[in-house]
Amino acid sequence: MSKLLSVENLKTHFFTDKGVVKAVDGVSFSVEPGKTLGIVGESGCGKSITSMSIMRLIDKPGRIVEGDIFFENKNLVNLNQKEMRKIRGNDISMIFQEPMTSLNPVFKIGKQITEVLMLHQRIDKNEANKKAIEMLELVGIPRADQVVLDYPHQLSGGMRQRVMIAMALACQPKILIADEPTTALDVTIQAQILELMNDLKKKMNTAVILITHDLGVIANMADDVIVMYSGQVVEDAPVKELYANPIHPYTRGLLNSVPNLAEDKKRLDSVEGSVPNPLYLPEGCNFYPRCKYACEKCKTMKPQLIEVKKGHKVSCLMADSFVQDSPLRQERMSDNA
Amino acid sequence: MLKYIIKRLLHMIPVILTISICIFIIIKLTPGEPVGNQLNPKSTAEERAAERIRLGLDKPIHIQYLDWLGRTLRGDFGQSYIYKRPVKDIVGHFVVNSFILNLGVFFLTFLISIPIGIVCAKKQYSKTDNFFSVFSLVGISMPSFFFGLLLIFALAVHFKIFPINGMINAGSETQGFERVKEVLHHMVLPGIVLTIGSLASLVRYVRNGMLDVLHKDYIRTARAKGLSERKVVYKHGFRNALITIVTVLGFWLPGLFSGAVILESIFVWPGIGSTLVDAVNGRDYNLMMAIMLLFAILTLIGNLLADIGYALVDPRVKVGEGNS
Repeated sequence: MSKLLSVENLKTHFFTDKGVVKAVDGVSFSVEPGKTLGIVGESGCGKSITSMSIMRLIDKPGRIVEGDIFFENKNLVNLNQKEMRKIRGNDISMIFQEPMTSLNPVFKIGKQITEVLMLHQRIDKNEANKKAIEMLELVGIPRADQVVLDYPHQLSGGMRQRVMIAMALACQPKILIADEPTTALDVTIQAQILELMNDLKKKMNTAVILITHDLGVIANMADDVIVMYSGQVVEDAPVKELYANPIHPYTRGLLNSVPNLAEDKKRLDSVEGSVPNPLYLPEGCNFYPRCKYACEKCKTMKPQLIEVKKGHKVSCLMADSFVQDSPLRQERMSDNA
Repeated sequence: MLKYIIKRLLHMIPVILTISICIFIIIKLTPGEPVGNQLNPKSTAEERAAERIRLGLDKPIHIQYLDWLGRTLRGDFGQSYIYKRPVKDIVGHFVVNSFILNLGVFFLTFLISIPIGIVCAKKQYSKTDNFFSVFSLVGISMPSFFFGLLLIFALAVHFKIFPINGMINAGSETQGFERVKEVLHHMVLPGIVLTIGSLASLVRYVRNGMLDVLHKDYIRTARAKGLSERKVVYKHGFRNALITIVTVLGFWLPGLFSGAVILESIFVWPGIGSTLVDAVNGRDYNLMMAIMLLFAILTLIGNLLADIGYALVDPRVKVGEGNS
């Protein structure tokens, strides 16, 4: 299938007083039309910076230092701000983690939605207003014709996230980037919002980049998954393949740390240690200080993201030894038995 | 809204009463009496005592206060001892002079400081921002009397571009437009000193207010919508920063009428500030009470206006509903 968006060797670095922070350091992935790509990883692994890089909304002292972002035959990295503004909110739009603070408190809901419509679609105020009400109805907001006259503080968090989704989808973008869209919401609302996003994605054939650290959300929503660790992609696979045959030790650690109702464990497994300081990354593989399987060459050699199976890419020097008869897989199977 | 305003105005009554008691006591605690200034220095002790009785200063302090209160409530602020005229006329006359000077300064300050503050916030730590940070620091730190004297020396004494002091030339009998020109000419120097002083602090307020807002999530949302940077900053950003600025505005409004005590004295501007100094020096109780009370009321009204301003710029603030 043809690719809608393809990110190649993206490097976004922050030039701080203390040194260069390589927040995103050589990330590659692609998104297909109408599909959902999940990006998972711990806090600070570069998920959000990756998405902000696609939108070209990186603030100083950050900068995209290398790489390409191809979207519909255009390389977003080379566009100027004016050209980029035509894409933002129109072809690629975004929703954020904090619905409580992501809407402007001093403007009415209707105005915030019509603003994006009038900016990109050259329609007049009345039409935009009609469309805004339609969009609010589409995202399941009752009394939409009254809600357009409300201010954000008059709505609950879940409602505000629906408004954000309505606003983001108003111009029928080809890609929706959702940066932890449900993290700030309570669990029942989370499920509703995710269901809504899935629904709309199918209706409008929008591709979704879903950023989260919730593996359960990914399992339900994503078609493909990339796992990020300290600014790099460590594993890239279709969702079923990833959950069935995780290869990278970090991915396996993450999956093992998800509590399983069928098991009776006293303690949850966790990935030992913490994310390395981005100012002082290890010389070799970024994960080796926390890796159970690290060997000598991991300390000095940087692994590359290579395809070990069809559609399954891993960035691990030991990958080969894990693919067949992975010790950990046997371990897991014996655990489950 | 109207109900809220009326309620707030009613709330002011006990506050003003309390303030008036405090001012009254403080004024009475200051040593010295107006009697000495009223009579000739060779007056006898009997003459002095008679004068005290005439002014009502022999009565106990609470009776004096009640006397004063009763007169004031009837709209009679009494005679000024030093000007020998009704206090009402004097205050009215000098407040207008202060207002003329301050109104110009007020508009100039806001017109200049808002764009500068926004630019500084947009380009934090740039050369422009650093320049105005230093400017603000100097402007806030430098006493107005020092800066005023510097200007007088440079532009009035040395270069003779502007008059040294006063509001009109001595003995001037100009009328109409000529008079306006003359007053404006006299206003330049005190105007510059006042503007620079308030500009310095207001630029900081606007800058910090904008900086605070520009890092908010909804600014990121506005950018992600594809809005131009101009719209992001001036529409989505500034509209929110206004909430901070309105507070400052409220505190400023009383200053429009209350004048600047030190500055008016240096430039011999016949405003209410320098009149207060005269009143204090002459122990002119009636005049002092009237001016201090005026300042207190102006401050309270300024606060009320700031609260109303809040409700106008911030939809989250609903004035007069709920907590009543």
